[in-house]
Amino acid sequence: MKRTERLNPPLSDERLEALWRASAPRILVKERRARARRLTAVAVVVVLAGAGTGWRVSHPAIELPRLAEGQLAEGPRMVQLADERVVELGAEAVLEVDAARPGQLEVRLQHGRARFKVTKNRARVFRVLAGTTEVRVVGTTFVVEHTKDGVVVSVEEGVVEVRRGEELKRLTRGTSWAVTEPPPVAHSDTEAAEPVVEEPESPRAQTKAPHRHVKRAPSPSAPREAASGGASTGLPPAPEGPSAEDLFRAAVDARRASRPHAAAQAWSDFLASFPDDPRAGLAAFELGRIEMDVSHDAPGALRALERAVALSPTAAFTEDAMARVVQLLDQRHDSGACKAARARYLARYAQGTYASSLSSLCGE
Amino acid sequence: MGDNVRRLFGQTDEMPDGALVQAARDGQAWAQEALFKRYVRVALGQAWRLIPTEDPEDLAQDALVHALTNLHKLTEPQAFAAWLSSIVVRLAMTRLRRKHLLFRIGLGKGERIDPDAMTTGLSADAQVELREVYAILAGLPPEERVALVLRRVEGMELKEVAETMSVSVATVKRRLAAAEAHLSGLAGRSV
Repeated sequence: MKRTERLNPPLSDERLEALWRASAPRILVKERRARARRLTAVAVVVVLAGAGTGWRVSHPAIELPRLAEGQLAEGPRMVQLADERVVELGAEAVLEVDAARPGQLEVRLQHGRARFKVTKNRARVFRVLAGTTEVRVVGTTFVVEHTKDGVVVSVEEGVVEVRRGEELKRLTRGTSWAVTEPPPVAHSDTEAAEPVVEEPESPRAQTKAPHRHVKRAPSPSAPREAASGGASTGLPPAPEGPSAEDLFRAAVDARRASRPHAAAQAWSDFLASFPDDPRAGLAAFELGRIEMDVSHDAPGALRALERAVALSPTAAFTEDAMARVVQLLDQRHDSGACKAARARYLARYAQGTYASSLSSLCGE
Repeated sequence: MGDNVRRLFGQTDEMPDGALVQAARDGQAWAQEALFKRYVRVALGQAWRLIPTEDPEDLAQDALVHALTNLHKLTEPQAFAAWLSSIVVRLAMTRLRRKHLLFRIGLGKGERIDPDAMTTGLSADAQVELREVYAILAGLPPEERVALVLRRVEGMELKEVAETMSVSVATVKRRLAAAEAHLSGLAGRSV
C-alpha cells in the first residue's frame, strides 16, 4: 500500500488508541464466533458419522444370494454372481452358473428375462448363454430375454458382443438385437412350457427328423429297450423306457439339484440312447464338464468334449469345449496332441477368450 | 511461539509483517494490536481517498477487524499490507455501490467533502480544486471511480490496481478509459 503523504487524514495517537479499544472486542467476538462455528461443524460431522454408523449397524446391507458354479436361480429375484455382478431375474426366469473360474464366468439363461449389471473386470471374461446366442461382456448393464421365439439382447450402458454361430454383432448403449431361435424340437405341452437349450447347428441334426422319433441305440441303463419291440405286429415299436425328453429333463433336474453325478449319468444315458438327437452335442459338453470339473475323470472328459465339438462345431459352447480339450491334453503331458488341439482352437478363434491363456500350455 | 518472536525482535515496531501475522494467527493479542496500529492510518487514508463522505474511519476499522479475524486466509503473511488494501477497496466498493444505487433512485445525498479533515497544509486553491474533483468523482460508477483513484491518486501500477480490485489488467485499463471519458465529459459540463 502506497503512502500518499498529502492526502492522509490526521489521526492522533489518542484517536488511534480509541479505535483499537473499540476494535479489540469486535475481533475477540468474531474469533469466538468463528471458533464456535468450527466446533459446531465438527460436532455435526461427528453426529452424522455416528448416526450413519448406527444406521448401518441397525440396518445391515441386504445380502444377495450368491450363486456358485453349477447352482441355479429362478426369478423373480435378485442374485449375485462372482465379482459382485448382480442379476435381476424376471418372473419365470431361470439362470444357471455354468462356470465360475478365475478367468471365466459363464451363466446360462435357460429362459425368461434377466437384467445384468456387470462391473468392469478385464481379468475375467463374462459370458451369458441363451439358447444358441452368446453375449460377451466387459463392463455394462444389459437385459437378455429368452423366450420360445428367440432371444432379445438390449444394452442399457456400455458395449456387449453378441454371437450366434459365426454371426457376431457389437451392441452399444440403447441398441438391441433380436435373434429368432429355431423352432423348438419338443412337442409336448410340458416341453413348451419350459424350453431347454438346443443345438440346431449340428449338420447331422439339421438333416435328421425330430429327435422324438429318432432311432435309439441300446442304452446301458435301459436294457429292456433292446429286448422290447413290435416288429412282429408290423407296427413301429412302441417307445419304452425313458424318452429323450425324460433323460434330458432328468439331467437338467439333477444339475439344478446340485447332483452332478446323477446329471452325468443322465447325460451319458441320453447320448447312448439318442446319439442323433440335436441336443447330443450339448449333452456331450455337459457330460464333459462334469467329468472334468467334478469327477476329475480326464479321459472321460476328453472323450465327451471331443464328441461335443464333433457334434456341434459352431455352437456357443464349442469354443469352451475346444479350450478344455487343450487343457486336458496339457494335463496329460501329451504335447503333440495338445499343440494340435490348440492350433485347431486358434484357427477358429484367433481372438478367442482363451487364445492368450492357452499359449502357455502344451509344454511352452 | 508468539513470545519467542517478541523476544527475538524486542519492540513490535521492528518486527516484520510476516512475523506479526504468524503471532496474531497463534492468538497473540499484542500482535493483533501491533498490526492494527501499524496499518490503521494507511487504511484510513485509502478509505478517505476512495470514499471521503462515508465515514472512512468506520471503513478502515471494519477492514482491519475483517483482516485480523481472517488471517488464516492470508497465504503470504508478508503480504499483509497488499491484502489489507484489497479488503479496504472491496468494502469501499460495496459502500459506493449502495450509495450509487440510493443516489440513482433519489434517496442518496450529494457528496460534500471537507478537505481540512483529510490533510493539512493545502492551499485554498488546492482545496477548491480537490472539492471539485471529488464532486466529479461522485458521478462516476463505483468500479470506474475506484480504479481511477487507485491509479491516479494512490499511484498504483496497473498490475497492482488489478490485484487490489481482483480483476484483470485489461479490465482495469477498460475502466480507466471509461472513467477518464466520463470525467472529461463531466468536467466539460461543470465548466
